[in-house]
Amino acid sequence: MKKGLKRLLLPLLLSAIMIFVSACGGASEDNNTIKVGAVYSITGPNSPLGVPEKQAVEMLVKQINDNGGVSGKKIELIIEDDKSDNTEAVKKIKKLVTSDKVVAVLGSSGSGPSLGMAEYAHSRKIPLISMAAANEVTDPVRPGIFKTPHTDIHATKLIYKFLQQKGLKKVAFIYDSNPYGSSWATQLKKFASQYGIEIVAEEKYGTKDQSMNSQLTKLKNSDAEVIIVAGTNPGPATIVKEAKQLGIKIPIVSSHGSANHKFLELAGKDAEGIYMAAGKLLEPDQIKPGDPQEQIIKKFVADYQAAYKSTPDGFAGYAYDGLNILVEALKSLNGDGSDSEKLAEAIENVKYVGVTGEFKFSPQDHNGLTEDSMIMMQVKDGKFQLAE
Amino acid sequence: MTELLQYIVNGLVSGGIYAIVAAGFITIYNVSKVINMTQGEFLMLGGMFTVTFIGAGIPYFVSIILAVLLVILIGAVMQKFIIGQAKTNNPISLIILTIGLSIFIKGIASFFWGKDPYALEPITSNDPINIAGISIAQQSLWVILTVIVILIGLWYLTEKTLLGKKINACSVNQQAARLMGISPAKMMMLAFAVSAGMGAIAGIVIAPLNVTSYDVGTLLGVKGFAAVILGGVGNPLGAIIAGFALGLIESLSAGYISSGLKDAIAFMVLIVVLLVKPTGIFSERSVGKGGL
Repeated sequence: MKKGLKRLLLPLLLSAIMIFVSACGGASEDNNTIKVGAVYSITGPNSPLGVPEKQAVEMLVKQINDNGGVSGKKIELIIEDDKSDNTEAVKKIKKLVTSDKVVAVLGSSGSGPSLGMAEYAHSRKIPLISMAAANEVTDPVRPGIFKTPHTDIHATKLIYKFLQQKGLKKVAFIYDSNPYGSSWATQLKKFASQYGIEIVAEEKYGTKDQSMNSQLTKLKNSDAEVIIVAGTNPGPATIVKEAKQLGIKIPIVSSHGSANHKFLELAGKDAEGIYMAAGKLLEPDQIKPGDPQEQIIKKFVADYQAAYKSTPDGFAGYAYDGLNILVEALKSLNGDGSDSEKLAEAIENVKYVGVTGEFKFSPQDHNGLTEDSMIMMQVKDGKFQLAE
Repeated sequence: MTELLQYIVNGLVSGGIYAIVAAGFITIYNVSKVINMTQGEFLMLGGMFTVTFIGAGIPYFVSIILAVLLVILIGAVMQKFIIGQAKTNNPISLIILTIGLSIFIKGIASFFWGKDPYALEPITSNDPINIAGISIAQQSLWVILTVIVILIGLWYLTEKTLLGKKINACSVNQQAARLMGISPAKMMMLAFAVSAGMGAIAGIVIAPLNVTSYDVGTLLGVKGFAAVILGGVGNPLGAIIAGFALGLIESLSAGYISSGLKDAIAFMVLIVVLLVKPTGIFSERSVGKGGL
């Protein structure tokens, strides 16, 4: 009896699915909308990244559609949550591509989910613009796969240029042993000789370590002229405090992983004088007048504050730029995103000034940013200020 | 030479905290034969409550006192209404119960305070004091001072007061103690309260050295427990010495071998000691052998 029921159920279910799928297919033939998919980590450990990203694109879609859309077509944005999980992210992009029939996908927030989605998007030749930090997303370059955030390469070059200006040559660095910090260690070593920098000591610590006293004692006893710290909160704040406790007097430069207001809160008075590589969005008031990004950053910050009563962070900016880049590409195709290969090529040709930086994509560069998109800040009077 | 001294100073500070955690474990163990796995959470609660009270505008020292009292209350309530109510006297079941409680406390804490870390201002400034080329944070001096005061206080309580004699009596032979009119249940609650208070104070004085968050207790609890095993279960002095030794081993191995291996080396020493002398370096005192 049970078996018989199952045999009957399966074809019924299948035909139901077929009808459902064909109905969906019919909807996407509507010529007046462009369907765009987005996957962000709205829940789970990456939610501090995913939530502002979602808010930024929702705000932007509304603005675009209110202003007449892209070449007369409205954008229909379908947002999915990958729950900060790699497998879930791939499931969500499959759903967006096969059943929603989107022309391109934005996301995800984290590096793991993004790498999985990039594999799938690449195999289906669907353009993907990721908001993930990992350099591997666009290195090696694959057709149709792009990303908007700065990488540690940009920040490394920026810091080394700054040290050159200050005449500091002997560098000691301390990094978090997680993927973020380890990638930094690789880049710091790789680019040192290009900038005439000598690395005299390196130390690492665990993300959950309570104290980095011993590592800092070693760095203190090296002949370093400057210490570079690469980690995300709370590690750099602990290091800055303990450096003070150990009487370390040489300058400390911290990576953009700690360029946020939580760092100031945690390190308190001990943050004073610390240098920091950061995106320009960190302190919109500190942007030099005449900076090409000045206008768009001020507009973005004002719009975001009006919509959500809070100041946007870098993550919101990555997502804002991602959608804007896609829109630029769609405009160049008169709003016709149906040919994925043409759309991917169009993104490659985009030159766009965003809140994260000035994007200049090319067939060899799918990140499009340079170290000029970041600036050196210094903590003065408890605030981030432009470093001299 | 200054390098060596600096490592020793660093090691003594973290070792002192392990010693307090270890002393907390032993205080409860001696009375009830239970290893209280929430010991680390007491430290976390002490630090986090203080941060919260200060955030609410309460003066620094009042916040500290309030936080310690609150954690003592939590410790006593936990013993009276949860551990004391368990339908078993089997220490293994009770230990598992405390593991559950520790996870529960951490869960509630992450719900209350979120997963972000918090900072606590140092008692005096964060400028170091320089002595012969080594730098000692002022807060580190406070930590060491607190450790010494707590440990002497604990020694005085258990060895020199009538209350301490009662606690000792319970750990030697519960039934005989009961016949003498001592309530083992009350003594157990007292032991939990004392351990909770010690843990809270330790958690408060170390918080300003770096940052504090809902999950700092776990690792400190594990390290303190390792010190207990290393020193010999049931021996307070042994556990305290082992606590300091563990801190020194960690600091020196991080300094001279590899900072990435400091935990591995510390625990390797523990394993070797257990292989050579399974009862721990200082072995168990005769305490507890008479009864139970």
